[in-house]
Amino acid sequence: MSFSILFLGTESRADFAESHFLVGQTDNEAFRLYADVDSIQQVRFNAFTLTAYLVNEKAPSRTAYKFQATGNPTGSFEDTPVRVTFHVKNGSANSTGTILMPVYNATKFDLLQVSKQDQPAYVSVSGATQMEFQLGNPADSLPVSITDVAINGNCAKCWNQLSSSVAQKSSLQIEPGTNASLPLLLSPNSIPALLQGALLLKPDAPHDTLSITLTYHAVPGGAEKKQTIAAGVRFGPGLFGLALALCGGIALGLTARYLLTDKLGNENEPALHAILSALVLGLIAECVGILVTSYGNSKLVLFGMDVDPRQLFPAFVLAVFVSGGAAVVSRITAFFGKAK
Amino acid sequence: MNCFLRGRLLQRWKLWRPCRLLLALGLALQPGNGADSPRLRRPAMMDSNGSGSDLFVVDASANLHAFHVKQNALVEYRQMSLPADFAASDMTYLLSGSQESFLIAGTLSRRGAVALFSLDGKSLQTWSLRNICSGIDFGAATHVAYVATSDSNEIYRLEMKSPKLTFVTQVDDAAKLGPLAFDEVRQEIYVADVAAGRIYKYSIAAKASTTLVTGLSAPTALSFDPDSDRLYIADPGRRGIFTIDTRSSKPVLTGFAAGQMQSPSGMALLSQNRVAVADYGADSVLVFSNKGSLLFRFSAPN
Repeated sequence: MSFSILFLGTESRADFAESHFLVGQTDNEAFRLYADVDSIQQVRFNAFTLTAYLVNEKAPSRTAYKFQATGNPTGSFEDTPVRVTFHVKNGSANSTGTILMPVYNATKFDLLQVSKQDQPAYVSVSGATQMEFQLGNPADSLPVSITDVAINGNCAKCWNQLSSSVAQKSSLQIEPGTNASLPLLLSPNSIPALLQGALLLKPDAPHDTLSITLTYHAVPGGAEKKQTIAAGVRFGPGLFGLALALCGGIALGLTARYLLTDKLGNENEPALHAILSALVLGLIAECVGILVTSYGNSKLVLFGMDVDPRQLFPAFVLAVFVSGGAAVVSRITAFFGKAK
Repeated sequence: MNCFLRGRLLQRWKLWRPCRLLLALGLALQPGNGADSPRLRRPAMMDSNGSGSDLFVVDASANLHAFHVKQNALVEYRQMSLPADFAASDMTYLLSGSQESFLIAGTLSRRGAVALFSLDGKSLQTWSLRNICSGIDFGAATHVAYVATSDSNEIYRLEMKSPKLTFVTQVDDAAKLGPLAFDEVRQEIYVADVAAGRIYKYSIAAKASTTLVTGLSAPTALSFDPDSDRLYIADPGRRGIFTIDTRSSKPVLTGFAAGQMQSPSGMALLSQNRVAVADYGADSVLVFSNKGSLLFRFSAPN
C-alpha cells in the first residue's frame, strides 16, 4: 500500500470534530494529522482518495495545511484499518508519526463470512416464510454495511415473492468480529413448488437453490462490492396439506385392509373404533417421524429409501402403512418382492 | 339521415369511451422495454460514438447504458450487461463497417483482457494479457487501439485483425497507469498516472515519453479533442475537470469545471462541442459546453 500526496494550500481552522476526523500525531507531538472520513472516495483503477489536514501544534496560529492523499493498493488484501506511517518535513527537521485509518482494495474480495448450510431450509408452501441467514464480519476488519439484497431462485415459477427488508435506506451494518441475521421473506407459488419437490424424496436434497446477491461496502467509504451466496431450500406442504395427505393415506390404507381382510380393524372391533385408532396412530407415526428426522440423526426409511415425512408423498405412504396394518404391508412387500 | 348517422356515431363513441380508457390504462400499466432494467447508478466510464450523438456509459454493476444525446437531455434507448466475471476498467467505442461495438479493457479471471462486445451484448473477441489492463482508446482511421496496463506501466498496441497485443513501451517513471487517450493525427498517446497524479505523452514516431503535466490527485479519465488539441482530464481527487493545451511547449493545467460534481469518473466528447462527465458519487451524467458551463444534468429517476 502506498500513498501519494498533493498539497492543496492552507486553511485557518481548528475545528476537527472527532466524529468526522481520524487523528494521528508525530512522535515528537509537534504535528497532528487529521484525515477527513467524509472525504474518502473510491476512484477507478483501484485507488482511493481522501483529504487530510496537517496542523503544527506548537505554532501560535491555527493554520492547517490541506492535502489530498491518494491510496494505491498493491497485491490483494481486504479493506481493513491499519496504522499508516507519515513523515513531516519542516525545513531541516523531520518528524515521523502514525495514524490509524482504513485502507481499501477494490480487487474482488468477499468481506463477509457465510456459515455453511448443513441442511436445506424448510419453506412451507402454505404462506410466506421468514428466513434468517447468518452473516459474519471477521475481527480486525472494518464495519460492513449491506445496502441491497437481490434473491433469485433457480426455479423462477416456484416463487411468488423473494425479498429482504434490507435496502439502501434500511441497511444492515455488521461490526467487526460480530454476526448478524439477514432477514429474508420467501413466499412460494404453491402448486409449482410442490411439483418441484414431489420427486425429490431424499431429505437433504434441495428442491430449489436460491442465489442471494448482497451489495455492500466497508464503512466508511469502501467500494461497493457484490457477494453471491447459494442457499438450498425444501418446499413443504404446510399443516393443512400434510393433514390432507395423512387423511387420504389413512382412508386408502383402511380401504385396502378391508378389501384384503373383510375387516376394518381387529376381531370384533367396531368400525368407528378402528377408524379412530387408524387416525390416532397415523398422526402419532407422522409426528414421531417429523420429530426424529428433524431434531435427531434418525432417518425414516421406506422400501430402502430415505424419505422426509414432512413431504406429501411420504406422509401419505406412512399413513397407508399404519392404517392398513400387517395385511397391507405384507401384500405390498410381496408385490415389490415380485417386481424385483 | 345525417342526423341519424351522427347519432349512431355519437352512440358508438360513448360505448367505446370506457373501452378506450381501459385500453389506455392497460397500455400504461404494461411494463415497457426498460421496466425491469437496472437504472443508471454509479456511472464509472463512458465514450461517445464518432459524431457524439450517442453516449455509452458503463456503471459499477457492469451494465452498459446507451443514450441518444439531445439538445438538453439524454434519452436512454438500450441496456446490456457485461459478463459478471469481467471487471471493466475502461472502454472505447468503435465502428467497423456498419457494426457498432465496444472495446472494453479490464480483468477476466485475474488476467488482463480486452474484449470486443457488440451493442447487443455479444462477446465478439477477447485478447488476453498477463498484466492488468487499465486505459484504452481507439483510432477510428487507423483501426488500431492502444491499451495501458496498471501493474507493469506498459502500453500495448491492439490491431483488430491480430490475435495478440504488441508491446509498445514501458513508462519507467510511472507508478500506476490508468486512462489513455490517442491523438491519431499526430500519433501521440496521452496516459494518466492515477497514483502519481501525472499525465505522460508518448510519441509513437520518436518512441519517447515525456511528463506533460503534474499536480493532479487521481486522474481517472482522459478525452482528447482533435479540433482544439485540448486534453480533458477528470480528477475525482480534486473533484473537477481540467484541460491542457497539448501544443503548448509548457502545458499548464487549467480548471474547466468544478464545484458541480462529487466524483468525476468518466468523460466523453459529444456533438456541438459538448463534454459529458460521469459523476460516480452523484449517480448522474453532467453535460458541459466547451467553455465549462453546465448545460444539463441527467439522473435516472428513482
